[in-house]
Amino acid sequence: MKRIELTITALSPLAIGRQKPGGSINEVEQYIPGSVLRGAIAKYILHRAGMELENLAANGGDFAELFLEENPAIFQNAYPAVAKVGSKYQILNNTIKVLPATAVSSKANPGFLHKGHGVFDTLIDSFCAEQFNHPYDPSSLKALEDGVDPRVEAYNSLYSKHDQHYCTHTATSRLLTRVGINRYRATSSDDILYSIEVLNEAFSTLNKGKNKEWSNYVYRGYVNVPDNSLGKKLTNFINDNSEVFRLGGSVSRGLGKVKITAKEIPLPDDIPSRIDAFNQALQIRWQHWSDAFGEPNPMSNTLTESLRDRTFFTLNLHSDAILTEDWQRTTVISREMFKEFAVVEDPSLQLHTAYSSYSYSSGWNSAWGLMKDVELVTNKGSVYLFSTQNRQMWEDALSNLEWRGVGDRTSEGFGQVEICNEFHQIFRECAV
Amino acid sequence: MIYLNALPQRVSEHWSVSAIIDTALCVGAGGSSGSLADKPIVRNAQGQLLIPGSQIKGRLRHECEKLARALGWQIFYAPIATELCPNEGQVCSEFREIYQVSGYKGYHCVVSQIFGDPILPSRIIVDDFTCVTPKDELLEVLRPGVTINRRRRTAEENKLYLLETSPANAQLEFKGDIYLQSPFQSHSPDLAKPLIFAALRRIYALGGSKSTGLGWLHWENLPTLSSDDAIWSSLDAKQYLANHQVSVGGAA
Repeated sequence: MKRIELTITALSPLAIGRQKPGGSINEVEQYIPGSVLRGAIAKYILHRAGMELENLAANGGDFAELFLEENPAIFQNAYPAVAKVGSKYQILNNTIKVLPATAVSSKANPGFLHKGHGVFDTLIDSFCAEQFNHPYDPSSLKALEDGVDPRVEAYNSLYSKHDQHYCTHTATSRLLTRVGINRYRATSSDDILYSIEVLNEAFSTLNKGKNKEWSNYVYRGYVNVPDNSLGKKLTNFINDNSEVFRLGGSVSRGLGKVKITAKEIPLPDDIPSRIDAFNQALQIRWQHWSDAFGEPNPMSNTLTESLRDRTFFTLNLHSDAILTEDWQRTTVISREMFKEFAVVEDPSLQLHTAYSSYSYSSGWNSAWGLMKDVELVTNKGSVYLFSTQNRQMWEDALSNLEWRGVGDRTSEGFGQVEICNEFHQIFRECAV
Repeated sequence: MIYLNALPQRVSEHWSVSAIIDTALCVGAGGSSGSLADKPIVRNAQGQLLIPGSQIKGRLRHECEKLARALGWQIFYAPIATELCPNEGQVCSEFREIYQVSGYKGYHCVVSQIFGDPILPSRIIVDDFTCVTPKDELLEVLRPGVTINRRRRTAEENKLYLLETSPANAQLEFKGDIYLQSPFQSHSPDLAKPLIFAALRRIYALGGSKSTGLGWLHWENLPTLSSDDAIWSSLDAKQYLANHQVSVGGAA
């Protein structure tokens, strides 16, 4: 197994369409989806081989192994590596993560500290409140200090931790307007005026009066390749052809030019320590709730007992997921679904709580020459809290899940998961 | 079988070309705001002046269409999608065979086989042409214009407008790349290069208000093809068809 880190530098605006059907403006994604990366690399390999129209499923060599086999390479989403640190934007080398759906920030001034009132997580506190039969309505302490509206709301963003500070990762976009020219009249043609929203190719790193310094936007994504030698070959291939790839739409008209560099990186192996840290935080918080609300009632007593027996862990969606249960779309990963994804038969597994929302996703499949079906997707950032009495059965399975993902079309980056995101340990009184 | 370390080299050809603006350029950016001008100029994220790749590709296609039509080819009308995808009855019988591309249904004229159509992908990729001079070194130029009432010979009401242009007579250089990928049909002569090279030389002005003196330019580093290259003779439709029939007959 090889994990390849892709660094994608935008050399021209990127038109990564989000909403194809309807409307006169093509909205843009704020990141590069894995399906776009996968399609661009596959298309270039086929072009080089001159086999765009051949069926390679049976005997396609490296191409079939990467894209068509039962366990193909997994192209994860590439998220923007540009964040504001202090007063200036810069490219960071940190791991870019998706904030859990349970993260909240002040409505009055949302955002991480230094810019906003701070962000904190509510998963563990709301779980404890529910078990103690108390309502849970968090507020922002910083907003209370400032004497403004302390109410909080969900805060969705990409983030990373840089020098003990948290920062938001974003990409900016702009609107391009295009018109078709009528060849007879040499004026703009009827019904061919359209606007494309594109991701900007550059940002200002230094803004002092007239002296501006510019840098190109950088996105960082990962490819998981099951075979070591194939991973090596793919890394070399991408590096040898780093400036030929074009991503997104309108590539023949100046958009989508990128430079991609690939680097092999070690696989993350810290799942046990993440689970330990999460359970430790949960135990301490449970104790605080017990201290605050007196002797636990008989039911809670049983729960306190069982808390010691059980190992809790969260499943955080790191990308949108396509989930199906009994042939129907769903946004909740049920106990049965999770056991099926992980291939673990554990009767003690419990799903305690789920935070998820949905949206729709479509796209264009160059191989078919057709639009992809409009899928109902569970939004990235969704959180599912599980517990088990048989932790040892799960450690390898969870590691496999982080590698493979959950749900459908995982090879296109859908359904990427993270176990026990460290942000769940950021509580209200220490908002970051 | 495809092996990544044994892929054949099918590197696309590419040419770096410069356009030198002799007058002032006015490529309007629709939907832009933050400028006093009624028609602001298009810029990239850094604020540098730009000629969009879409405009250069469109003008190149237009010139190629004119040249090819004059050389006797049947050309389908861009940019209307339905006209670019004709049915069998709309295609002249002599072109039906050579206007088909294996793997892509329908008929595709010689220009569509280079620039693409709703079914066929484009072989040519044109980058945005960017002005090498930084934004801060160029003054913002607003050119006022007014419409004259023909009867009174005075300014018409509500017809005063401001165009944003590049500085006049500054010989600004716009640099960009044009890429050409390998042809869909390797057995027939590739007309792309002679058509594109000739078409580039026929573009004298870009942007808006060309008839009033804006956007006139000359090219530098234009690619050339030697005059004794055999491909020139294939440009004539009659000659191409005659040669094509011979080769088809020979293959059969």
